[in-house]
Amino acid sequence: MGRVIIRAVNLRKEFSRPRRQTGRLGGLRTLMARQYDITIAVDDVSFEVAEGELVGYLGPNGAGKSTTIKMLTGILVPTSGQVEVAGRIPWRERERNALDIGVVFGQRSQLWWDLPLIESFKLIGKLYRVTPQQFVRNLDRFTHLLGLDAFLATPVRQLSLGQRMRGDLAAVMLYEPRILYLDEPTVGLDVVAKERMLTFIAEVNRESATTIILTTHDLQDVERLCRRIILIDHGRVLYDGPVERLVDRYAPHRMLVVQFSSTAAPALSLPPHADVSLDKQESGKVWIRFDPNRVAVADLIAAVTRQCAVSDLSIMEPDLEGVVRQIYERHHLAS
Amino acid sequence: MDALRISFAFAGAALRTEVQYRLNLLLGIGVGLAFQITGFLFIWVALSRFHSLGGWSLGDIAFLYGLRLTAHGLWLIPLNRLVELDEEVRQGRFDVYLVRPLNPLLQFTTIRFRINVLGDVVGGVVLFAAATRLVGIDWSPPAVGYLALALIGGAALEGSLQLACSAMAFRWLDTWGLRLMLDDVFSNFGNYPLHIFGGVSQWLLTFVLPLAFVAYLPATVLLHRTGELSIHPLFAYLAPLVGAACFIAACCFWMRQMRNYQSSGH
Amino acid sequence: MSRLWRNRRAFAGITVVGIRTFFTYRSLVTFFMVSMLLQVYLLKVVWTAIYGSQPRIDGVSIQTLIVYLTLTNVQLHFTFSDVPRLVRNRLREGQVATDLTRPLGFPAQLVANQLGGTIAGLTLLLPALPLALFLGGLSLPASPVAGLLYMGSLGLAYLIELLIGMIVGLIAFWTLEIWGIQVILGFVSRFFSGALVPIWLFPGVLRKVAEVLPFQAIASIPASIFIGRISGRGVVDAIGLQGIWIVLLLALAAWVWRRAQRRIVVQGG
Repeated sequence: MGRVIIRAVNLRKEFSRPRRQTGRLGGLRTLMARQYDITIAVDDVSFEVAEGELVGYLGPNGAGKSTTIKMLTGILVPTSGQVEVAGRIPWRERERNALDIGVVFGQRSQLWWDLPLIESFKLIGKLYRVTPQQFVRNLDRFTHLLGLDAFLATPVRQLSLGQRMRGDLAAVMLYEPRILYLDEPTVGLDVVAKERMLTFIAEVNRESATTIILTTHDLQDVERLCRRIILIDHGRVLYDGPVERLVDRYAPHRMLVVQFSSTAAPALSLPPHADVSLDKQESGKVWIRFDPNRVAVADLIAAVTRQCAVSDLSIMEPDLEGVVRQIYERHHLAS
Repeated sequence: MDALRISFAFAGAALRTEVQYRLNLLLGIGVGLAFQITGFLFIWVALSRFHSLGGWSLGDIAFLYGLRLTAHGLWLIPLNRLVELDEEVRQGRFDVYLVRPLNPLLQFTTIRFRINVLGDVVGGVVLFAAATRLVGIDWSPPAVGYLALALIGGAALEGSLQLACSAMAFRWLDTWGLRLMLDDVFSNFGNYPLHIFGGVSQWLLTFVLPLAFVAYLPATVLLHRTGELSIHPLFAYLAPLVGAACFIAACCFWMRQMRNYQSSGH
Repeated sequence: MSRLWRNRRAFAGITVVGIRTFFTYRSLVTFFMVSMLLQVYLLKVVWTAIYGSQPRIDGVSIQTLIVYLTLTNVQLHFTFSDVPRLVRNRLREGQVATDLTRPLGFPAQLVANQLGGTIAGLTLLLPALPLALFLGGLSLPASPVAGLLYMGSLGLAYLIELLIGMIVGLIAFWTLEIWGIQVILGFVSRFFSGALVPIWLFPGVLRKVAEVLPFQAIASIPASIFIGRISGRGVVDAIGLQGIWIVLLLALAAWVWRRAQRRIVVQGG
């Protein structure tokens, strides 16, 4: 990991939209006495990203993910707070900041819609002052990596979503930006395409040490790629750290699933332990929740098998999705 | 410089995109042309019987008309995209210009081209050419030089006002009525010798809304009619400068207003 | 007709929709209104300059001419038919299918909608009349009788413009791109209705053309009655001419509507 390349300090973004008056002469009243609705999209967000990191930026819809990214990329001017990317304030030095960054919007393509894909690449090459050698080298490399050969000459509007996304990725890598912002890049992709994209992203991060901020609400992406995750909801950071610790901190339990030989519900007495509890019981099957840090799983298994005949047992880890959902719910109750 | 070279590349791509839709092209040019020419028909019919309008002959008026129409077409060539700003701002499609290493205004105006505006340009030039046959034009080098400046200055002036209006899109999301109104006033009043309007209106159309500087004042210079002016002839000679100044101011204003861009949900 | 009476509630309902829709296009309608007022002002200035020191041209003084031009422009604003845009929108959004199955006929629906727009438009137009007076010029009618006949003639003019709008709108059943037709027709009708140059000042050939087109019946005839340029026996002829146009256009509209209906069946729409 290198030096800090992205720094956000107490970022805040408020949006004001004129409130449309309803009823008669609504239009006139809207014009006369302008009242504004203020939405706080980002309340107070602070974090630092070091060069070469691959960070997952997670949050439900409306959490403030896209707004944060837009402030980092210079699209939006923060209402208050500081933002610094590669030593520059993005919205003040947009054009110079732009040379260092690449942005891929999942819902929108940045390619020229009516022209063949290769034309878009050439235009991007010109735009970012890519040298001819660099251009050829990168074009070859990413065409190969992403399998673009078949449709380089096809107008972008005729491409499928998966092909277009690959095109967008290649376009952004042509000029080898230091930072990549990927905004929901896997939305709408099928399993194969998704896998291919995630592999590509991992490779880019590994080989070129490109700093990558991946915005998503798909936890699969995160589990697969990111070591660090920033969780955001209602404009505030709920968690910022390694993925494993997220699970450990919020849902440290495991589930022992025991299948009994007979379907009769046995009278099972669990060891009197605070960190052991019966979670669920069906005919012939029980789920026992326990904290592996406090309870020796071997003892627990022994205790159970001593009481009844067991035909099968397994240990389940809580899924990341469940954990994250818990965090959001807990945050809602608190606020 | 670099930026201009790149935007020319953009513009080239935009043109290549447009010619794909050939029928649209012809239709657009045709209608645009018809619209502009028909405006002149009114004055032509009116003056067919009466040979002077405030002392100006049909030829003089045609000259003024053609001058203004050509200037109008000229600013449309670089700025025809302005009408699409509202929608791109509303939809959040403006984002992409802000993350690329090129001036957003330059990007926005060159990335696509609405080819039907060529009809306006052609209309203006045709009318102007016709006018030069009706009235004696001074073709000496200084006059031609001034004509070129006047056309560019007039285009810059009209364009700058439209640019300023469109800049409000970042704040209001809808500038259509405003721009249309502005265009209406210029298209209607800009083609007439303003001295027929009398005191107050003439003053308003010179110093409040600088309509006079677009075509009327330069026309008085080229038709040797600066003696008729109620203001100092110097204003007329320096008309192109007013256009240039307004244009620069409008660009700065637009870039400043860009900070109000709120993007959209997605 | 009886069908219309039976469905009068539906008709009224659609009229209300037309009124509401009008108010959603705030910036557009304001623009048209302001544009019309500016146009009136411009015409006053230009024609005053053309007249110069002549007291009368073809027997008409500059003041009377200005009243005529103000009237024709205000009238065109009032009689404007939104039907082409309506038809095109319904077709584009695919709602025509449901429209056609309603007991109230499609043409009647269009009329109801336009009436709504006109009524709503009046709420803006009437307060704007003082402005029209100031920017252009208005006066009392040439005589009380002329005033009454004017109202009748204006009603007929409204009908004519409505029928033309209907015919153009129905063309959309064949090609959605009626925008080009609308623009060209818009200018032609404006010019030949006398709203820019009074008909009696048209040069030779153009005068003849104007007399065989229906557009003069939309604006010039009512306005001419108002200022007294058409009086006595002439009024009967003029209103008769309007009547003839109505009959012709009605027949044409009915024919186009029949063809349009057949086209829908063929298209399986």
